[in-house]
Amino acid sequence: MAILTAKAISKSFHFPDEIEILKDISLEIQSGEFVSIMGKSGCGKSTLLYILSTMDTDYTGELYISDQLITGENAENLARIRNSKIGFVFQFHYLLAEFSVLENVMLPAKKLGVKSKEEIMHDAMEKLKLLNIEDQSKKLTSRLSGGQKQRVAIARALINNPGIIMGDEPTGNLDSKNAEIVFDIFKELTEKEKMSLLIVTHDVDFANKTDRIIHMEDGKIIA
Amino acid sequence: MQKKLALKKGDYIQIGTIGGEIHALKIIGLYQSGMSDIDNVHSYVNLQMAQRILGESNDFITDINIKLKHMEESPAFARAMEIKFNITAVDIQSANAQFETGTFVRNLISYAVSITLLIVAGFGIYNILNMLIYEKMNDIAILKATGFSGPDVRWIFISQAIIIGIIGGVLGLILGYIVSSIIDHTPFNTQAMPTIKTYPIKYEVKYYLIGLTFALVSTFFAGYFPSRKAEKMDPVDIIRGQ
Repeated sequence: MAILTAKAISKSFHFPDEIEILKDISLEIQSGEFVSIMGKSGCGKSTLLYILSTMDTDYTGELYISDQLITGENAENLARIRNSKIGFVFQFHYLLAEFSVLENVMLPAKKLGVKSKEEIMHDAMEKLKLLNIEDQSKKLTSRLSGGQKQRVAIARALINNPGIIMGDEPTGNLDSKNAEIVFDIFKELTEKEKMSLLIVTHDVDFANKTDRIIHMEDGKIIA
Repeated sequence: MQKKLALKKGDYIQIGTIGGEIHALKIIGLYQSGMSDIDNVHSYVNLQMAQRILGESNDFITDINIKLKHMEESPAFARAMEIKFNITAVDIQSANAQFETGTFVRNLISYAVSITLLIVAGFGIYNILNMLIYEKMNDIAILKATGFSGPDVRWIFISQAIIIGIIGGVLGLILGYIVSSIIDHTPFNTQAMPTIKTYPIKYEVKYYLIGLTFALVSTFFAGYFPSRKAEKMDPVDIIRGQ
């Protein structure tokens, strides 16, 4: 089953000059697949990721998540889809410094509002356990190391049990040891939880270990 | 008058009228109105005595002063009296028109000054929240990326502004109350109003409510405009800008 389908996606920047940054991109990601996108800086891979993540709506083409057409939805619905179906991990952790680790992880689930506070707290602890940082749950995020912060960010991405996790260079700021830990976590998620992963990366070693690599150049998929 | 003539309660005085009669009067009490103009020249006798001094019959009356429970009704009441008894009636507002104008101008000045100050304070809050939004840009981006919509983000900042308004408003009222009660106990001696020993302060719930309302309204607007900006921020721009 395809969790994510993109059909003929193109995008242009109109300012300052007319530049076509993505040209007719079509791709499909199956449930439980671990996919990485590689390419040189400026080839449009991050831009593609933001379109696939529904945050960028200025494009032509069609985007489906779980076989549901996403293109053309209003901002409110897109926010709900992002909340329930997509998890994000960025290069920078983007944790809220005023909140504890646990509260940061709980936040998207509170927004979803399906479960009670106790259930959410229980889920959040489960996710932290999965990532081996449950002992840090009461700390403020500013007191964690870089690798720990990134793992908290992954836990936050997982809290609503999304169908797909998207990462924009999630290991970009980490040393090789922490990068490896993050990779192992991702690998485990696809194998055990049947979660799909779409990771934009520069790291060749990282990409080589994934199920499939999408190579991009000048706004096109070349392999 | 009592001091000028070196008189005290129980003394007798004699007054002569224009007609040449002389009346002996006993001082049975001392009265101070607080207005030196009145206190320097006025003294009071009962009605029969006054009629005798003036040499008039005992149905002669020049003025009747009527005190109403509600001062605002005085003009209407005066008109009604004029029609009913065919007399000249003057309400207190027209009798004291000069005083009324003075009060009005003073009120106008004090309101103008306070509104100016509050607007300045409102701009201060606006500035702080504006800076806060730039500082919290990353947090806004991740909230939006993880599924919080624009109105959610706007509500966060508006509620923060309202919290500032409530806390600030209540603290301001408490501070205002403390300061005004200090002023209330400050000695204030003036020849014009000898009965008043400290500065007169009017504690009225109305003024506190006006203050609180203004605090809430101004902070709401100070928060509303920055929050609109936060609502419109594009998470992609912020995340890619890193």
